[in-house]
Amino acid sequence: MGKGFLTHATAIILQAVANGYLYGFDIIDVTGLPGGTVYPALRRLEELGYLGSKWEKPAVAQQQQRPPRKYYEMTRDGRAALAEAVKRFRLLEQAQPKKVRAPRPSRA
Amino acid sequence: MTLLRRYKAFFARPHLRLIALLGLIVPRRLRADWRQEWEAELQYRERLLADWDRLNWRTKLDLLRRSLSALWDALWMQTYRWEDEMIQDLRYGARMLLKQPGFTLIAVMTLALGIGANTAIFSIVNAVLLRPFPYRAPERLVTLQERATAGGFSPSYPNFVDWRAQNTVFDSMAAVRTNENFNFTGAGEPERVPGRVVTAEFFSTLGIQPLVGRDFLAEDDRPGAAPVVILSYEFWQRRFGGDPGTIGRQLTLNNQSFTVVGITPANFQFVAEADVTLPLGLQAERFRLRGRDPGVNVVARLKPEVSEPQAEAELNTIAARLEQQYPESNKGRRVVLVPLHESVVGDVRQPLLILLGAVGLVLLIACANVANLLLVRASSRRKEMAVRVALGAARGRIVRQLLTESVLLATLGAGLGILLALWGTRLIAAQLPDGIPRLQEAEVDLPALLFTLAVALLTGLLFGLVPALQASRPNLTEELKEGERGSSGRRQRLRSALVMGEVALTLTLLVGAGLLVQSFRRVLQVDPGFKAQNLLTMQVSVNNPDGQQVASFFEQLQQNVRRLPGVQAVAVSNGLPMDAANNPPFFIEGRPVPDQKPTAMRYTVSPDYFPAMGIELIKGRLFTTGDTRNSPPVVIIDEALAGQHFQNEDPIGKRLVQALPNSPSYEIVGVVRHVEAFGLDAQGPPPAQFYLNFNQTPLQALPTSVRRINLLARTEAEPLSLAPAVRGQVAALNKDQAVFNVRTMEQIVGQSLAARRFSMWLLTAFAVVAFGLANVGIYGMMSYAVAQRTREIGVRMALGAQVNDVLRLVIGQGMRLALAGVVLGLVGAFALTRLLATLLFGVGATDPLTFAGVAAGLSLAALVACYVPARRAAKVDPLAALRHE
Repeated sequence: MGKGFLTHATAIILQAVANGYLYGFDIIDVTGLPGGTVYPALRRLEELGYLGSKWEKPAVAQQQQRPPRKYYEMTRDGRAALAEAVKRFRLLEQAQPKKVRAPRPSRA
Repeated sequence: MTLLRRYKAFFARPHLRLIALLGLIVPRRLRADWRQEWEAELQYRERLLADWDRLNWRTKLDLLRRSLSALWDALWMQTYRWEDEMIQDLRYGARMLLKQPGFTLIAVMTLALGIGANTAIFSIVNAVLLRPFPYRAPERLVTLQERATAGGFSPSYPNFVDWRAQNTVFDSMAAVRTNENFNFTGAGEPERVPGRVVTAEFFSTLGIQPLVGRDFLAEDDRPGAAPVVILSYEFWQRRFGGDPGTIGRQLTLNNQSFTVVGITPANFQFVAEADVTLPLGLQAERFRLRGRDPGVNVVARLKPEVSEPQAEAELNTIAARLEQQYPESNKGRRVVLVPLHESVVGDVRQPLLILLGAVGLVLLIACANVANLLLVRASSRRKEMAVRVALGAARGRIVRQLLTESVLLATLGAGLGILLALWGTRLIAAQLPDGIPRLQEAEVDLPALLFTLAVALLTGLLFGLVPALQASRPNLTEELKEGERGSSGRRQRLRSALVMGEVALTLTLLVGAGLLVQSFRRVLQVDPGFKAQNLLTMQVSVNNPDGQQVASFFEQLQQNVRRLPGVQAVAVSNGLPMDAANNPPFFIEGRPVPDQKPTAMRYTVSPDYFPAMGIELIKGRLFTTGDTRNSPPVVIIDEALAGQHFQNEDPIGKRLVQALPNSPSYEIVGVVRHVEAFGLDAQGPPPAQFYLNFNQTPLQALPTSVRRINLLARTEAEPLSLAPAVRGQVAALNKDQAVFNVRTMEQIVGQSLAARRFSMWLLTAFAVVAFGLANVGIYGMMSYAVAQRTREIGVRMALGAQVNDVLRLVIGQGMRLALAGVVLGLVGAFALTRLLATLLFGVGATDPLTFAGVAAGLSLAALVACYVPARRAAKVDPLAALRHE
């Protein structure tokens, strides 16, 4: 896949990260896409340089007795690619953030 | 942690276990991060659910479902493997192989030939020798044979009954007689079906349950019981369409009505093909004699705590008791216990193992060839290696990369080899003689593929390791200099050794094949004592209790067939050489009767049998129309019987008696030429034979003697072309008459040679492949050596060497190697061919003619392989060679 061209599903995932859903599971919940699609897409976006990733601060995780989570964040390239994609997939515009909500588990 | 807690921990959080498991396929360098990401997400979610008090089995199941999608993630991560070292090596290796397609093609084809042949032979060995029988605990199944002073034979049924009653070492024990045939009539087309008769414990001893219906019961296995039959699955499908209502149906076998009580499982087999299984007890009358045919095969299941020698010892105690009780029939009888597997495959084990060994040698030769190619290639890549070492590549890294290349080659070879094996297994299995058990099961299956994989990896390492080790240790200062210097002595020596080894192995194979070919030629030269050409045979089975009707049926049938155009002579016979004949004991009237009565093959034949078969009369007369049921009974003996019992007297006029109840005394009226009864390659003293006159068989004995009888016709043209006409004559007399086993006598003779022909062809094929490979090896090495020495040869020629000198130089170098290989091979062949001893006929395992011929032939071929490069060397233009500097 060449740079700059995103499939619809990938664009939605990128949009979800832009909206502040920074963890794999939250992205699955909010987009309704299956995990088998979301994870490989995240890996590819990271490889393309549209997403960066960081590990959560160990102190937070330690308190809850679990390993630190990995979260994804937008890069400059990512923002540009998303803007590009929004022009092509008009429906994405409606997914532009109005307000950021706290992630909530669902059974999706 | 206790086991229970571990167990609980596992089921409490199965999603985490799944992640740990899936992590195994993630490339190692990414694995820790990958696991942590997934585990953290799942544990976070778990915690959130717990906080909200929603952690129940449904949400847990949901977590498990989510963790399943990690599989896709893990699979996607595989693409990162492209950056691993192994993949780098593979990619690099593949590029190098593609860059030299000629080299790759030759190496892959060579390996495919070696690996494919090995896989094919292994598949057959696996099916025939290695795979356990599909019975319950087959390792505890044994067969029992009786043994007198010489030879083993099948025990009599009364002895079996006593063994069964008196032994304490077997869980159960059954008697079975295979290769019984029955006329199946009364349900559509009449058919001759193969069958077996068994005692009631047969299926339970093997641990086989009927698929449908019931097993035989003890009360079925008695004289006078209601006749019942168990059908094979295949027969049930073929004739009854697998209808479950077949159970309870009546069907007619040999004019007797049987009730179907059971169906065996699909693919059930025991020694010989059988569509119907009948209780032996129904025919107990037929088996009642202790001292004579027909015997039964005994299969028994050892008790778990009893060893084979213990069981054999106890049975011999019983046999000794029986000997005292029945001295007449049981004198000297001992019992031998043979594991069932051994008794079925014992005869074919050695030939198959020899072939497996031979095909292994072919693979070794192929490996040597490829190793040589790699060595040559390594020397052209010396500079590349030197540069890499100079730039800091570790030796291990270079070895690893070169090994990756050779394993890649071997894998490609194996891939192609499997295709070859798929085809070859079917081809070889189709060529194999009928007598080899379990062959129909031979296929390239999982064990065979694993074997191939192992062979491929092993060969890859075998032919790759030495070149890799050598190449990884370049002499930097030498290699990095400009210009070629010819190959170093070490490498040259290694290549020479490989070629020498190849020649030696090839010679061994060629000698083995040569000995088998010689044996086959000798066998074909054996005079069978009859003329097999233009002789049609078929078997007829008559079920008619009226002796008079049977007699006139055969009278009429012979007359009618004789009238057919193209038929020269017609005969009927009970028993045929190389097929089957009875072997009753007999004695000569007026002489003391020994305890151990001699036996002789008995053929009951109509008068025209001798002219039809082309058996020559030596003395006296043949049967005539004057010999009838009302005239005194006469017998014709063969020269073997005459030689064994009438050394110094004339047998004509003497009298022979069969040691059977109610046997008349027969006057010997003629002596005929001996015929080979057990095949052309029978070894040991020739078996004595005698002939009774079919036309003198008492009417009351006739119905049993024609249950299975041969009809023979000597024809003017190709015998099988007359088969329909002869069949037509049988049908015209009785349309319900089953005719089967239509064969020419040449086919019967050929069948007796099938096993020998098979091992000869296969070993010859392997030897020819080896021969080709070895010659390519010599040629390749000499071509390379000549190319390396171009400049040296140029200098020599500039200094006055003639074409002949150059030829001598190059050929001398090659032939020294080839001859050393030949000498080594002769030593190897001398040591190995004695393994072939049992397969040889008429030649010794160290037959000097074969050894000398093969050595000369191989040396000549090597000479040719050296000559071509030598010619090229002699054409070197000294000026061009020197200017090259």
